[in-house]
Amino acid sequence: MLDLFFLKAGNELKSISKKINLKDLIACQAFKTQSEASKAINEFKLQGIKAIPCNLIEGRQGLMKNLLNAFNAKNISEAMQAVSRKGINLLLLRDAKAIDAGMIALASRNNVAIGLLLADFLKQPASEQALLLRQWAFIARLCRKFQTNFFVFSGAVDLTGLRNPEDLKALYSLLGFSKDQANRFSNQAVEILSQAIE
Amino acid sequence: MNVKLKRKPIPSSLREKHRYLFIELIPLKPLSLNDWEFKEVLSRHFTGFFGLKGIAFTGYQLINVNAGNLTAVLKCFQGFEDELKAALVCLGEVKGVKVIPFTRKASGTLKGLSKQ
Repeated sequence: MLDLFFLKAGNELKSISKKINLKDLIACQAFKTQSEASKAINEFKLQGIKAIPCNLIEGRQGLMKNLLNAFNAKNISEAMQAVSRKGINLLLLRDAKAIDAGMIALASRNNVAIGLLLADFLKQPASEQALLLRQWAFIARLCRKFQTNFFVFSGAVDLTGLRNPEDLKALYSLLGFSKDQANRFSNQAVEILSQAIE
Repeated sequence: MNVKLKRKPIPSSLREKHRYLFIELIPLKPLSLNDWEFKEVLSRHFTGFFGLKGIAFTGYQLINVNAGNLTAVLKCFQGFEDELKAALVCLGEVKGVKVIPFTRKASGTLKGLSKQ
């Protein structure tokens, strides 16, 4: 089970991740070079945290080989651009209104996983949260229809945004996935995403 | 003459089965709450998330709270524990202090919860 966040290695991260049983992590950062990515991972390793590097891409930034490439899509045109681009492994939908059935179908064809971040949900006011949850459920429905890989991550930008992946797994059933599907996405996320890299 | 009517027991197949969740809130800044406030925080959050009808059907019940270490034991109908967990994950802050909600244990009995 793993979680994706935008944090850097630190002592507090180690203690919090121990407290909430967070074992595998995807450290998502905008790396400029390959060495920068390996340096960041070494920092995690030194603190005993198992982390997978993930290159965060925005706009027309370049991809990195042998690394998980996640695209930060803020609108529908960016999302469309990401799923039609080769080498993108994960599409982080930051705007839930950016839903398009064609885009999800294309993501399935190009083996791009769809990722939603709980941090986006938490920063919304209560009235907007209901709307966002409905849109998430619709994205989940489309992903089920087109058999697109779908993940919910904490997307934490600070330590309080971190969540236990076992608890995040509960969100899958809230969004309409069966227990088997939820288990597949949360337990085999590492395998699914590493297959995408190959 | 008073005749004591014996209540017919509910068949075990119709009895509601329950699950118990042991939850904890981890604040990064000091957060002082009393038991009543803590109960209110949890009840308001779950009612806000599910609505009155939703909360009735999940069978949500607060069994025990400990505001000192921000832990609580929740009870719900079997099959609704995932919904409660999902609602708990969406709890971002309490009294303006950001917290990390965490389900420490889940069990079918209170005894099992204390054993694990």
